[in-house]
Amino acid sequence: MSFFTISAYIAIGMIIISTFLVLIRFVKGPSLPDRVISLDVFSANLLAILAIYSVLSEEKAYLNVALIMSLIAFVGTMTFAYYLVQQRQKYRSDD
Amino acid sequence: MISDILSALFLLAGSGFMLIASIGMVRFPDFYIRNSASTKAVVLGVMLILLGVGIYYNEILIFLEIFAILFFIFLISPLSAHIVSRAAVISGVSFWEKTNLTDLNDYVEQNSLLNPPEHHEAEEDGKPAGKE
Repeated sequence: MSFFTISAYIAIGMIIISTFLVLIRFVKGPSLPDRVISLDVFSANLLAILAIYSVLSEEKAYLNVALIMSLIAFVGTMTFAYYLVQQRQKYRSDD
Repeated sequence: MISDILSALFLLAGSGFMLIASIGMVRFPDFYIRNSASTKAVVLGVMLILLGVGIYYNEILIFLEIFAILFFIFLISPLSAHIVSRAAVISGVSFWEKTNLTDLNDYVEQNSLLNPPEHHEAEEDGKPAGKE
């Protein structure tokens, strides 16, 4: 086990710890935008895990998966922001 | 050998920044401060990790792919942070009580962000944004 493999495993462990911290914020989060940005950070953590795992398993195709995941995370965040604004305006036009 | 050590250092630094971002997500008092902290540190962490992966592979195609990912992340992350924060201001997420809201109140009043022109008689007229 070389120095590089050990440090890659340590990096994956740190990112898994940070994923659990983000999930704490996702459960606790008092408002909906808190949950939206915690999902954003969650997908960034998954992207980082994919990148490091592609190094560990010598499989370059995981980097393509990381590229697609960054785009999908962007679309998800935009959808939630649009939903927040629309919900507010619907509520305002009701009263 | 030297590229392995350099790549390992990049990976460790990047994951350290992502850990700092997540600690900030848990510890900070306010949605807007959390959003700022998580956006900046996560972008830096992902950038360092992807550079470490590129240095490990040391091929031109991998570097092109990594620059594509970095381009999207640098384009997307400030944009989505701004739009989610704007949606949070519009939907009335409360601020930390120590935040200085003078400039924000001026901006909201000038652009009629909380009171769209067709709904002038809504109930929050004249209320500052953070006190709901």
